[in-house]
Amino acid sequence: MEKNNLSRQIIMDHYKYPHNKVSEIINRDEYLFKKALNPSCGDEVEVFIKLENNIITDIKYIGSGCSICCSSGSIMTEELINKSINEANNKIENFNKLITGVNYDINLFEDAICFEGIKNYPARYKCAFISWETVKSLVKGDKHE
Amino acid sequence: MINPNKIKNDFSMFKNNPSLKYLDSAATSLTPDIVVEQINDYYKKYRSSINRGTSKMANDVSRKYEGSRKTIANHFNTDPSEIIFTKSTTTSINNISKSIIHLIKPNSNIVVTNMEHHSNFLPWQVLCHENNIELRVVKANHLEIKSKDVIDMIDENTLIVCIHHVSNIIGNTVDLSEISVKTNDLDVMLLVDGAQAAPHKKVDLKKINCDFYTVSAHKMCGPTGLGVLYINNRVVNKLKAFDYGGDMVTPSSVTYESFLQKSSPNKFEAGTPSIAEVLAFGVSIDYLNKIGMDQIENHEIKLKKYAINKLSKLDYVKIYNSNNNSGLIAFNINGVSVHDAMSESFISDITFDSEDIIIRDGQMCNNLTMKYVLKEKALLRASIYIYNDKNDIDMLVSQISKIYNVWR
Ligand SMILES: Cc1ncc(COP(=O)(O)O)c(C=O)c1O
Repeated sequence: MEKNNLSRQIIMDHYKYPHNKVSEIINRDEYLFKKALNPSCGDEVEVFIKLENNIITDIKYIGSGCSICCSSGSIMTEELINKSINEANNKIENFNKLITGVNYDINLFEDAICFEGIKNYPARYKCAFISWETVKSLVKGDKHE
Repeated sequence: MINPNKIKNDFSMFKNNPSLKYLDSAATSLTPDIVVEQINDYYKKYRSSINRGTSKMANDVSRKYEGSRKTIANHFNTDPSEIIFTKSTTTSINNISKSIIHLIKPNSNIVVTNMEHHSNFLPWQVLCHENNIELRVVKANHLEIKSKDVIDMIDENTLIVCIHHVSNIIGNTVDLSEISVKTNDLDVMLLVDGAQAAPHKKVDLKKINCDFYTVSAHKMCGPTGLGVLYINNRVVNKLKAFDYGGDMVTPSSVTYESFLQKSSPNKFEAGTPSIAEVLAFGVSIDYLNKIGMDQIENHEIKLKKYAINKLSKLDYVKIYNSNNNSGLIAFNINGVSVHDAMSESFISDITFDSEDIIIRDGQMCNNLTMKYVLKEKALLRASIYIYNDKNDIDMLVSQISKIYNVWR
């Protein structure tokens, strides 16, 4: 399969069958969490992470929105779970490069490389980055917004 | 009866974009060539200021400018002194909100509704916050504002009632007649946001009997950057001027200590106005009247019925406003986010955009209706105007089904 088609297929799979997506979190107090909005189109994600000894031991999200926003959220949870804060920050930074067409460390990623195509659609940048950006601000210490 | 194909010939946009299906006139309409030519003529043939200098050309332009005001006043059945030119509906409403601050008393309240465009809500929310007075929000009932619910909110302490004439998402028309009886009885000011009404139906300001009525030229075949604000002569003396400067003052009256304001409309038009736009908008109004406002309204209602009939056969399309008489169709496609439907990405190149079908997505600058009335995060809106025909609708419907098939 052509690379673009494969990417498309993987993203569609994550969109239709998302990983680590929940409709609500009961034990909120065990998590750091933060909500983010993409005001132009109504994308909305709320990300929950559990930090133990500076490692992200659990990560979940509640979300609704476009295919790119939702699939990126699903892939983000897979890419960042069990990573240390430093590793997560490094991945987030590289993912930002990946979707903006800047050289990045390709060895860091699995499914996330499917988002390379976003670089040609700057209007969709926010959709792809919103959940990653939220984790970045959570590990920095912003929460409960 | 309107013949959209003939009307399309009046708009170069269609010649330059042969596959354009323009269904976004509620955001901004297209502009017929004669209006654009009027703008050109002003810049190319008789460029000068108005009401300043005494050259023959300046006098001619001043006369044309006032002629345009008269055309617009006639169209809305009011006096030219009550027609004020501003930048937009947004500017008009903000200006009014600032010109009545001195009338606020500690127990004043302001009545608005939860179906207002942000431009007819935020200025009032800010005014109420800053002056610590009550903002009363009338809630929609079955997707529309009932005049009785508005009337129930008004009392002798109400400073102003601010309400849409036609709403910008649902397209329902508010029955203003009983509201204005009540505001007049209690000597309460009434502001009507006519941005979505004036382009589509005959508006008779004598009949409506409000104090302020706002219109955006760019939504009715006019230029961008021009608003028309009707100010009923009976309230002019209560209001502060919007701006101070040239042309709103009697020049010889200016001293170190004081000055004398002119009467309306000059009182509210300080500075060099948008001359080209005012001249052009006079041409737009003539153009619309040649077609006929009643014809325009009928055409939109008929074409919307045609669209609803087709759309209601697609069980995956949710329509929010099937039944009202307007040219607005607010809808969603089940399981497809508006963003995916609208804008192309590497995941799907089957979108409205890919077929040059221009509609609007998102919250339409009206988050109150989205959040409290429809309880949706986003939706799609197709809006019909004089140049739209059955083919535009057929293309819209067929693209909806193609988009659905990508994502289902
Ligand atoms: C009902 C209504 N009010 C106000 C406005 C604001 O008009 P403008 O952007 O021309 O100031 C709009 C335009 O979208 C509208 O639909």
